[in-house]
Amino acid sequence: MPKYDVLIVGGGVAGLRAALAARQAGVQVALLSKTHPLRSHSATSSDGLNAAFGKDDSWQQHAQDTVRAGAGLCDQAAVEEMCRAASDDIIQLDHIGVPFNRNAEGKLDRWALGGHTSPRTAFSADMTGHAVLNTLYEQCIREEIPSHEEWLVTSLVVEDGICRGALALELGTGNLAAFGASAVVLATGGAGRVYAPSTASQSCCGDGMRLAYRAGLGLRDMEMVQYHPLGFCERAAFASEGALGEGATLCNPDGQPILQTDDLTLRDALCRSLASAEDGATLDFRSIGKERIGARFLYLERAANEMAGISLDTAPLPVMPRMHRVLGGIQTDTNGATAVSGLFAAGECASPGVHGANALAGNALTASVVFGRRAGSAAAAQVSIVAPQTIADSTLEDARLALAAIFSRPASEDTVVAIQRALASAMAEYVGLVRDAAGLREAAGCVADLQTRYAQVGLRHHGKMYNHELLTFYELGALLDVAEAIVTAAQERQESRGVHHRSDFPATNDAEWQHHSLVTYGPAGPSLTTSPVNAGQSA
Amino acid sequence: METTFKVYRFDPENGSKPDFATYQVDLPDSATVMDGLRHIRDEQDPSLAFRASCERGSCGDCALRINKKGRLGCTLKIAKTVKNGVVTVEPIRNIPVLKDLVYDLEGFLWKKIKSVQPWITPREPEPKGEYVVAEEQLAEVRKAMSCVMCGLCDEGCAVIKIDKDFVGPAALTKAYRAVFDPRDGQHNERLTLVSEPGGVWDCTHCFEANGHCPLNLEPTDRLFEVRDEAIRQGIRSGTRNPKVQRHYDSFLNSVKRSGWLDEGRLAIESEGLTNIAGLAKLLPTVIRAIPKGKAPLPYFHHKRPGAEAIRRIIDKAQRSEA
Repeated sequence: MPKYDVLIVGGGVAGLRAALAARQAGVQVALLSKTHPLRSHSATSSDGLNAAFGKDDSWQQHAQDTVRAGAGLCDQAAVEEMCRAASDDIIQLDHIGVPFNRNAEGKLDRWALGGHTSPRTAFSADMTGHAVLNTLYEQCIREEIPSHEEWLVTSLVVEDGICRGALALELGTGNLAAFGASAVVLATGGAGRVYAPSTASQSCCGDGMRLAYRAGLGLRDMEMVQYHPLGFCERAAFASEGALGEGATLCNPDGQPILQTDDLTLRDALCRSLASAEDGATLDFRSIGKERIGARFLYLERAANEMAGISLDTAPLPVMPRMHRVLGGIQTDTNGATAVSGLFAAGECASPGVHGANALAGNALTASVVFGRRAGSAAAAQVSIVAPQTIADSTLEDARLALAAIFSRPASEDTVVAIQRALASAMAEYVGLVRDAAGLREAAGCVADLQTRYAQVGLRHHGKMYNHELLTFYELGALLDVAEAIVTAAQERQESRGVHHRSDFPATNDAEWQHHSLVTYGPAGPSLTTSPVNAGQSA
Repeated sequence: METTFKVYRFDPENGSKPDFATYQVDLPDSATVMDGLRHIRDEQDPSLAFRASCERGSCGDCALRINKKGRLGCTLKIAKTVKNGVVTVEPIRNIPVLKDLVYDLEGFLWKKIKSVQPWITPREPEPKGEYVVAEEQLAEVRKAMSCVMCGLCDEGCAVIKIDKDFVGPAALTKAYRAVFDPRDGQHNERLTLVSEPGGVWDCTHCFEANGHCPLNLEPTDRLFEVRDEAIRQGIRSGTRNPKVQRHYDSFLNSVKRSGWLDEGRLAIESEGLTNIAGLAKLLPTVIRAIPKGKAPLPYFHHKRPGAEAIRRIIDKAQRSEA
């Protein structure tokens, strides 16, 4: 049985950052990820990294902007931690090779994003996520951090409130193995695939959220689902919001600007106004010029051409809001620690409390870097408390039996793919940008129905190697759990706040609703509790 | 649009030989090849295996050979590639296939990427803030780094096809990223590494990599730029391999002396004059060559016309190098 001091689950930006931090703390760390790290969804992150640099800005101002966007649900301690640390983290990324765009003085250039009072987003064209992911990967191979690729964690091993490791399925062989560890860091990414269409990669199925949820941990602020205003094509593609700060204009089909370029609105308001524009919208880059497009929109220039057949310097790009990410996740403190000893979480699967009810553009990648690092360090510190654990053979044997039980289900007319599709379209229809009680009731009924179908569905393919249907079976389990948490929290919150917009309760109601929602698993159904927002001192 | 998909199938679990299976697919005109594969897997044959992740040309996971050309399946529209109603999908070439369209990139790509040590070691003195660097210096590094590691340049490479040890254009584009990053402190060490056998000098200038890169990153040109930088830095090929070094020295000395190549001398000096075992290995070849008149006597090599002029050119080049 492989045994490590720290096991990182997930090879995206948060996971790789955590792995490096743990390694630098001198412990034995290994990565385990569902895809090769460079295929992670982080590669699509396009806005950049936020930090206050220079005398015209301050981390306090960054924190204030974050809190204002978060519409009353940000935890002050987490926001302060991120905004204070972000500049050092970004400088460190510069030193290890992220090719950030430079200004005329050769220092970090910054672009303006919606909701920021000054331009504070460092970027590497519109491929910052890709550049950070690749740079961190380079350092991980330099450190010779062992990496188990194409492994799916099927469950955590938690005994007496302590996480002792994980059980995982090797996708290439279909074999199960136990990984013992002193600490496990979940950095499994988001759950965007709970909706269709969405900007999420195939892998974003909420795997880590389910693992934590089933281990008894609460999922926080799950009703907060963010749409991205600049989706294009019928795929997962989207343009960086940096486009608006750079002078691209959002227009209606007649070419009339929908918003002024100096008016960089928050994503939620922008999405709702675009969604209500009946004839659709276009993003017009023509005033920017070919050279600047080439220097700053490396990805979009190519993708618009290949996927939409549009050359950005000659024609506007049709865009539409598209589900982007779940802002909530596994509740953690600012060290990524969860309520289970030895279990940490960071990145999109986690909720340290910085996004509140609406994430500021660029804060997502920033949070992955800052809290990824902190979770890695904290997990390494766990090693001095508990030695790497041995997982009992019987635990692995139970998991093998559970896997065999999945295969021995009788073949059914119903398929995991059909259930997944029904779920994603119901979520998009009833739990989208604008919600109401009737729609949410419909969604709840639908999720319950699909859970029943899931409990009976059989697999058509019984091969062991790269059995995608089996992978989908596990992913669907996670998506159903995530959907259950989203719908439960969205039904409960009878007000509008940030990205959660209720047409039947259009006003924000601080007196009754300025608190986090926390959904916990129960065999008889989820239960929802609330927890106060740590608003602290205004920064 | 009705399309026939001919898909490569190979399942080691059932012991069958690789073969093509045919599927009829009816999808909207905007559908991509990946949409087609997914449709087949979801609706017709759940045993079909392939990789896919971002669905937007960002991650390189879905590199496949589609209608005999290396492409990313997620951005290629069926309408753009279909020929006589048929789309043929295979794994990329020259690589071990694990199952169906899933292939093993470990030896083909990831090990080679690691071998060029493509990480940045901060150049001393490490500044307190960011490195002050001109945008022009980083723009090309950024572009090279936008590579999605799909492996299609290596798939098209004429050398890898016959020599698996060639590190290849993908890894050397990755090396470019580090070599031309002004923040890196291991400039010459890396150049020395990629000048070893299997590195930049093993490229045969066929330019196939440029033609195969779906992102138009021009891997062949980047490889040349790495090689040119090695020359500028005075790094000679194979400096870590004494045999290669002896070979080059002997070649040069021979041309300098007689104006052309003394092949007998080159063979002996490449092995090393004191390397008895190495010299002994040459013997069978020499014995076979003598009756055919193809074993020239080393060192008794007559000068060609113009040998003096050639010597003067070499002298001049060596003086300017010094």
